[in-house]
Amino acid sequence: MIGILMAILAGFFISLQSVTNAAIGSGVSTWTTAMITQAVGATGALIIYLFSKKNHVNGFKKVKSIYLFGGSFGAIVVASSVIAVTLVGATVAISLTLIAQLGTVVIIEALGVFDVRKQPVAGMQWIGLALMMLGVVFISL
Amino acid sequence: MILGGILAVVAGAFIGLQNIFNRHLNEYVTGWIATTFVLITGSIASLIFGLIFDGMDVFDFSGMKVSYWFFGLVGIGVIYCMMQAMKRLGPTKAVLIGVIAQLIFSLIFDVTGFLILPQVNLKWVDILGVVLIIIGLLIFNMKTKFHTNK
Repeated sequence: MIGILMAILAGFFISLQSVTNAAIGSGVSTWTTAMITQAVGATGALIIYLFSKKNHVNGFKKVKSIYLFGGSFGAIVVASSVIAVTLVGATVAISLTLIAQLGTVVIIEALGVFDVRKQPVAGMQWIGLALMMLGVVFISL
Repeated sequence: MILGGILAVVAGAFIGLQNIFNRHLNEYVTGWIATTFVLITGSIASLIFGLIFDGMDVFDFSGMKVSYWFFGLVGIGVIYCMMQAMKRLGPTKAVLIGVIAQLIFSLIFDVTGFLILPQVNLKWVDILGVVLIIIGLLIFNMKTKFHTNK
Protein backbone atom coordinates (compact mmCIF):
# COMPACT_ATOMS: atom_id res chain seq x y z
CA MET A 1 0.00 0.00 0.00
CA ILE A 2 2.76 2.43 0.96
CA GLY A 3 4.62 1.24 -2.14
CA ILE A 4 1.69 2.11 -4.40
CA LEU A 5 1.28 5.47 -2.67
CA MET A 6 4.98 6.19 -3.12
CA ALA A 7 4.82 5.28 -6.83
CA ILE A 8 1.81 7.58 -7.32
CA LEU A 9 3.59 10.36 -5.44
CA ALA A 10 6.68 9.88 -7.60
CA GLY A 11 4.53 10.24 -10.73
CA PHE A 12 2.91 13.34 -9.24
CA PHE A 13 6.31 14.90 -8.54
CA ILE A 14 7.58 14.13 -12.07
CA SER A 15 4.61 15.95 -13.61
CA LEU A 16 4.90 18.74 -11.05
CA GLN A 17 8.57 19.13 -11.94
CA SER A 18 7.78 19.58 -15.65
CA VAL A 19 5.41 22.43 -14.78
CA THR A 20 7.63 24.08 -12.14
CA ASN A 21 10.56 23.95 -14.57
CA ALA A 22 8.40 25.58 -17.24
CA ALA A 23 7.41 28.26 -14.69
CA ILE A 24 11.07 28.99 -13.93
CA GLY A 25 11.71 29.08 -17.70
CA SER A 26 9.15 31.87 -18.01
CA GLY A 27 11.33 34.01 -15.72
CA VAL A 28 14.88 33.17 -16.77
CA SER A 29 16.50 31.64 -19.87
CA THR A 30 16.05 27.94 -20.68
CA TRP A 31 19.69 27.02 -19.98
CA THR A 32 19.65 28.99 -16.75
CA THR A 33 16.55 27.01 -15.73
CA ALA A 34 18.30 23.73 -16.45
CA MET A 35 21.42 24.88 -14.61
CA ILE A 36 19.62 26.12 -11.48
CA THR A 37 17.10 23.30 -11.05
CA GLN A 38 19.79 20.62 -11.33
CA ALA A 39 22.21 22.52 -9.08
CA VAL A 40 19.52 22.86 -6.41
CA GLY A 41 18.58 19.20 -6.82
CA ALA A 42 22.23 18.17 -6.54
CA THR A 43 22.60 20.21 -3.35
CA GLY A 44 19.56 18.50 -1.85
CA ALA A 45 20.83 15.06 -2.86
CA LEU A 46 24.28 15.82 -1.45
CA ILE A 47 22.81 16.90 1.89
CA ILE A 48 20.79 13.67 2.10
CA TYR A 49 23.90 11.70 1.13
CA LEU A 50 25.94 13.32 3.90
CA PHE A 51 23.34 12.22 6.43
CA SER A 52 22.91 8.70 5.06
CA LYS A 53 24.93 5.53 5.11
CA LYS A 54 27.86 5.87 2.74
CA ASN A 55 28.85 3.14 0.35
CA HIS A 56 30.07 2.59 -3.19
CA VAL A 57 31.87 5.94 -3.30
CA ASN A 58 35.01 4.41 -4.78
CA GLY A 59 33.03 2.90 -7.63
CA PHE A 60 33.40 5.91 -9.94
CA LYS A 61 36.79 4.70 -11.19
CA LYS A 62 35.30 1.40 -12.28
CA VAL A 63 32.61 3.02 -14.48
CA LYS A 64 33.48 3.11 -18.18
CA SER A 65 34.19 6.82 -18.72
CA ILE A 66 31.55 7.34 -21.44
CA TYR A 67 28.81 6.35 -18.95
CA LEU A 68 29.79 9.19 -16.64
CA PHE A 69 28.22 11.52 -19.21
CA GLY A 70 24.64 10.33 -18.67
CA GLY A 71 23.98 13.14 -16.25
CA SER A 72 25.04 15.81 -18.71
CA PHE A 73 22.12 14.81 -20.96
CA GLY A 74 19.98 16.35 -18.24
CA ALA A 75 20.82 19.76 -19.72
CA ILE A 76 19.07 18.91 -22.98
CA VAL A 77 16.27 17.05 -21.18
CA VAL A 78 15.33 19.98 -18.93
CA ALA A 79 15.82 22.65 -21.62
CA SER A 80 13.72 20.77 -24.22
CA SER A 81 11.04 19.92 -21.69
CA VAL A 82 10.71 23.53 -20.51
CA ILE A 83 10.03 24.74 -24.05
CA ALA A 84 7.82 21.75 -24.91
CA VAL A 85 5.56 22.16 -21.85
CA THR A 86 5.27 25.90 -22.51
CA LEU A 87 4.29 25.32 -26.15
CA VAL A 88 2.01 22.27 -26.04
CA GLY A 89 0.98 21.95 -22.38
CA ALA A 90 1.80 19.30 -19.81
CA THR A 91 -0.24 16.31 -21.01
CA VAL A 92 0.93 16.28 -24.64
CA ALA A 93 4.54 17.10 -23.71
CA ILE A 94 4.74 14.43 -21.02
CA SER A 95 3.02 11.79 -23.18
CA LEU A 96 5.34 12.39 -26.13
CA THR A 97 8.37 12.41 -23.83
CA LEU A 98 7.31 9.07 -22.42
CA ILE A 99 6.78 7.48 -25.83
CA ALA A 100 10.12 8.78 -27.11
CA GLN A 101 11.80 7.46 -23.97
CA LEU A 102 10.38 3.97 -24.41
CA GLY A 103 11.09 4.06 -28.16
CA THR A 104 14.73 5.05 -27.59
CA VAL A 105 15.32 2.22 -25.12
CA VAL A 106 13.66 -0.25 -27.53
CA ILE A 107 15.93 0.93 -30.37
CA ILE A 108 19.06 0.73 -28.20
CA GLU A 109 18.10 -2.80 -27.15
CA ALA A 110 17.36 -3.81 -30.74
CA LEU A 111 20.77 -2.54 -31.83
CA GLY A 112 22.50 -3.93 -28.74
CA VAL A 113 24.65 -0.80 -28.41
CA PHE A 114 25.97 0.85 -25.19
CA ASP A 115 26.72 -2.54 -23.59
CA VAL A 116 23.04 -3.44 -23.54
CA ARG A 117 22.10 -7.05 -24.22
CA LYS A 118 20.74 -7.22 -27.76
CA GLN A 119 17.08 -8.13 -27.88
CA PRO A 120 14.74 -7.81 -30.86
CA VAL A 121 11.71 -5.55 -30.64
CA ALA A 122 8.68 -7.58 -29.63
CA GLY A 123 5.43 -7.25 -31.54
CA MET A 124 3.68 -6.21 -28.34
CA GLN A 125 6.03 -3.28 -28.00
CA TRP A 126 5.13 -1.97 -31.47
CA ILE A 127 1.43 -2.31 -30.72
CA GLY A 128 1.86 -0.58 -27.35
CA LEU A 129 3.81 2.33 -28.81
CA ALA A 130 1.31 2.70 -31.69
CA LEU A 131 -1.62 2.84 -29.26
CA MET A 132 0.19 5.42 -27.17
CA MET A 133 0.83 7.58 -30.25
CA LEU A 134 -2.87 7.34 -31.10
CA GLY A 135 -3.60 8.50 -27.56
CA VAL A 136 -1.41 11.59 -28.03
CA VAL A 137 -3.21 12.39 -31.29
CA PHE A 138 -6.54 12.33 -29.41
CA ILE A 139 -5.24 14.60 -26.65
CA SER A 140 -3.85 17.13 -29.11
CA LEU A 141 -7.20 17.38 -30.95
CA MET B 1 2.83 23.15 -31.76
CA ILE B 2 5.20 21.16 -33.99
CA LEU B 3 8.32 22.57 -32.32
CA GLY B 4 6.89 21.74 -28.88
CA GLY B 5 6.17 18.18 -30.01
CA ILE B 6 9.64 17.74 -31.48
CA LEU B 7 11.31 19.04 -28.32
CA ALA B 8 9.20 16.73 -26.15
CA VAL B 9 10.46 13.83 -28.28
CA VAL B 10 14.05 15.10 -27.96
CA ALA B 11 13.65 15.25 -24.17
CA GLY B 12 12.30 11.69 -24.09
CA ALA B 13 15.06 10.34 -26.32
CA PHE B 14 17.69 11.81 -24.03
CA ILE B 15 15.93 10.49 -20.91
CA GLY B 16 15.99 7.03 -22.50
CA LEU B 17 19.69 7.39 -23.32
CA GLN B 18 20.40 8.78 -19.87
CA ASN B 19 18.64 5.82 -18.23
CA ILE B 20 20.86 3.38 -20.12
CA PHE B 21 24.02 5.32 -19.21
CA ASN B 22 22.96 5.64 -15.56
CA ARG B 23 22.23 1.92 -15.40
CA HIS B 24 25.93 1.36 -16.12
CA LEU B 25 26.88 4.00 -13.56
CA ASN B 26 24.65 2.30 -10.98
CA GLU B 27 26.52 -0.97 -11.40
CA TYR B 28 29.29 0.66 -9.37
CA VAL B 29 27.82 3.82 -7.84
CA THR B 30 24.34 3.91 -6.33
CA GLY B 31 22.16 5.91 -4.00
CA TRP B 32 22.26 9.62 -3.28
CA ILE B 33 25.89 10.08 -4.28
CA ALA B 34 25.02 8.80 -7.77
CA THR B 35 22.04 11.19 -7.85
CA THR B 36 24.26 14.08 -6.73
CA PHE B 37 26.79 13.26 -9.45
CA VAL B 38 24.17 12.96 -12.20
CA LEU B 39 22.57 16.29 -11.25
CA ILE B 40 25.86 18.17 -10.85
CA THR B 41 27.07 17.04 -14.29
CA GLY B 42 23.66 18.01 -15.72
CA SER B 43 23.98 21.45 -14.16
CA ILE B 44 27.52 21.93 -15.46
CA ALA B 45 26.46 20.85 -18.97
CA SER B 46 23.60 23.38 -18.80
CA LEU B 47 26.07 26.09 -17.75
CA ILE B 48 28.30 25.26 -20.74
CA PHE B 49 25.37 25.32 -23.20
CA GLY B 50 24.15 28.55 -21.57
CA LEU B 51 27.54 30.23 -21.96
CA ILE B 52 27.67 29.17 -25.61
CA PHE B 53 24.14 30.26 -26.53
CA ASP B 54 23.31 33.07 -24.06
CA GLY B 55 26.79 34.29 -23.08
CA MET B 56 26.94 35.87 -19.64
CA ASP B 57 23.13 36.16 -19.63
CA VAL B 58 23.13 32.62 -18.27
CA PHE B 59 23.88 34.24 -14.90
CA ASP B 60 20.93 36.63 -15.20
CA PHE B 61 18.78 35.48 -12.27
CA SER B 62 16.66 38.66 -12.14
CA GLY B 63 13.53 36.78 -13.30
CA MET B 64 13.83 34.25 -10.47
CA LYS B 65 11.12 34.45 -7.82
CA VAL B 66 12.13 33.23 -4.36
CA SER B 67 9.91 30.14 -4.65
CA TYR B 68 11.58 29.19 -7.94
CA TRP B 69 14.83 28.40 -6.14
CA PHE B 70 13.13 25.63 -4.18
CA PHE B 71 11.42 24.03 -7.16
CA GLY B 72 14.64 22.14 -7.91
CA LEU B 73 13.96 20.08 -4.79
CA VAL B 74 10.89 18.51 -6.42
CA GLY B 75 13.34 16.22 -8.20
CA ILE B 76 14.47 14.93 -4.82
CA GLY B 77 10.87 13.99 -4.05
CA VAL B 78 10.73 12.07 -7.34
CA ILE B 79 13.85 10.07 -6.56
CA TYR B 80 13.02 9.41 -2.91
CA CYS B 81 9.47 8.21 -3.64
CA MET B 82 10.60 6.10 -6.60
CA MET B 83 13.33 4.45 -4.52
CA GLN B 84 10.79 3.62 -1.80
CA ALA B 85 8.22 2.36 -4.32
CA MET B 86 10.77 0.17 -6.10
CA LYS B 87 11.92 -1.32 -2.82
CA ARG B 88 8.34 -2.34 -2.00
CA LEU B 89 6.88 -3.17 -5.42
CA GLY B 90 9.87 -3.95 -7.61
CA PRO B 91 10.95 -1.69 -10.48
CA THR B 92 8.43 -2.82 -13.10
CA LYS B 93 5.30 -2.21 -11.08
CA ALA B 94 6.64 0.94 -9.42
CA VAL B 95 7.51 2.58 -12.73
CA LEU B 96 4.25 1.53 -14.35
CA ILE B 97 2.14 3.01 -11.55
CA GLY B 98 4.36 6.10 -11.49
CA VAL B 99 3.92 6.70 -15.20
CA ILE B 100 0.13 6.29 -15.04
CA ALA B 101 0.01 8.79 -12.15
CA GLN B 102 2.25 11.11 -14.14
CA LEU B 103 -0.18 11.13 -17.08
CA ILE B 104 -3.24 11.70 -14.90
CA PHE B 105 -1.63 14.53 -12.93
CA SER B 106 -0.36 16.22 -16.10
CA LEU B 107 -3.95 16.28 -17.36
CA ILE B 108 -5.10 17.73 -14.02
CA PHE B 109 -2.41 20.43 -14.25
CA ASP B 110 -3.53 21.38 -17.79
CA VAL B 111 -7.21 21.46 -16.82
CA THR B 112 -6.57 23.59 -13.73
CA GLY B 113 -4.12 25.89 -15.55
CA PHE B 114 -1.55 25.22 -12.84
CA LEU B 115 1.25 27.84 -12.51
CA ILE B 116 2.06 29.15 -16.00
CA LEU B 117 -0.03 26.62 -17.94
CA PRO B 118 -2.88 28.02 -20.01
CA GLN B 119 -6.09 26.60 -18.58
CA VAL B 120 -7.68 24.15 -21.02
CA ASN B 121 -11.18 22.70 -20.84
CA LEU B 122 -11.32 18.98 -20.24
CA LYS B 123 -12.66 17.19 -23.31
CA TRP B 124 -13.73 13.58 -23.64
CA VAL B 125 -11.02 12.99 -26.25
CA ASP B 126 -8.40 13.98 -23.65
CA ILE B 127 -9.60 11.28 -21.27
CA LEU B 128 -9.85 8.82 -24.15
CA GLY B 129 -6.30 9.76 -25.17
CA VAL B 130 -4.89 9.20 -21.68
CA VAL B 131 -6.76 5.87 -21.39
CA LEU B 132 -5.32 4.78 -24.77
CA ILE B 133 -1.81 5.70 -23.62
CA ILE B 134 -2.26 3.67 -20.43
CA ILE B 135 -3.56 0.66 -22.38
CA GLY B 136 -0.62 1.08 -24.78
CA LEU B 137 1.74 1.12 -21.82
CA LEU B 138 0.26 -2.06 -20.36
CA ILE B 139 0.54 -3.82 -23.72
CA PHE B 140 4.09 -2.53 -24.19
CA ASN B 141 4.91 -3.85 -20.77
CA MET B 142 3.51 -7.33 -21.37
CA LYS B 143 6.58 -8.49 -23.25
CA THR B 144 9.59 -7.02 -21.51
CA LYS B 145 10.81 -5.29 -18.46
CA PHE B 146 10.21 -1.60 -18.23
CA HIS B 147 13.08 0.83 -18.17
CA THR B 148 12.07 4.29 -17.22
CA ASN B 149 12.72 6.47 -14.27
CA LYS B 150 14.27 9.83 -13.83
